[in-house]
Amino acid sequence: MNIFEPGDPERAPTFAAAAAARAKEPSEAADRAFERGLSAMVRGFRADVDSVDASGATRRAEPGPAC
Amino acid sequence: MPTDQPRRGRGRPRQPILSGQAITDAALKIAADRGHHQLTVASLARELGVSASALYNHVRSKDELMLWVQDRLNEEIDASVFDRLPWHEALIAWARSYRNCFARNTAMIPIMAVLPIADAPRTLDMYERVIRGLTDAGIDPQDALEIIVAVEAYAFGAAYDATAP
Repeated sequence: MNIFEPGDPERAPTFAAAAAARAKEPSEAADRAFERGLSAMVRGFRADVDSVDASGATRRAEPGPAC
Repeated sequence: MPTDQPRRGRGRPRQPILSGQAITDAALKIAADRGHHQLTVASLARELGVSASALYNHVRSKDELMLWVQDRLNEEIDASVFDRLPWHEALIAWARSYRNCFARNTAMIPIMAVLPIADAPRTLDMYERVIRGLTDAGIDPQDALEIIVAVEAYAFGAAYDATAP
C-alpha cells in the first residue's frame, strides 16, 4: 500500500503524479527521504556552526511563532 | 456530553444532533485523554452521549472517522504560506505549523503518520498546495515529494519532543 496514493487524482494532480512516480517500495522511498533530509540538515548545521566560528559570536535560533 | 450539542426534544430534531466538528472534537479528546487505542466507535458514542447505531448514521466506520480526523488536523496546518512566501520561507512556516498542530495532538501521531491519504480531501488539498509551491519554484516533483516527507518526519519528531516531560 502506498499511503500517498491520492485516490482522486483530479483533486491533487501535481501531488498524484509525484506519488505515482515515487519508488514502488515504500521503505526505499522513506529511506531516500530520510537520507536526503539528514544530509540537508547536517549541511545546514555545518554552515551554521562555521558561520559562528568565523564571527566568534554565539548564535541561537529564535523560536517561531505559535500557530 | 459536549455542551454545544443541541438539546433534543420530542419528535424529529430540526437540526442534526451530531456535526462532523463535534464528532472529531470528541475523537481527539478521547485520544488525548486515554490514548488512540481507546478511540473506538463505541467509546466515541459514549463520549458524545449517543448510541453507537446513532453514530453510524453519521460516520460509516472507524476508517472513515480516521479520515475525518486526518482532514480536521491537516486543515489546521497553514499551507497558504506557499501562496505568498518564497518556497524556502514557506516551507519553514508550514513545518512550524505542522509541528505545532501535532504538538497539540501527539496522541494521533502514530495513526496519522501512517494513514493513507486517499479520500481525505482537505489533506489532499494541503499536499497539493505544498508540492505546487515547491514545483512552481522550479523544484523537481520527485525532489519536492522527498522534501515533504523529510520535513514531515522532522515535524512529527519535534512535536513529540515539544510535549515530552
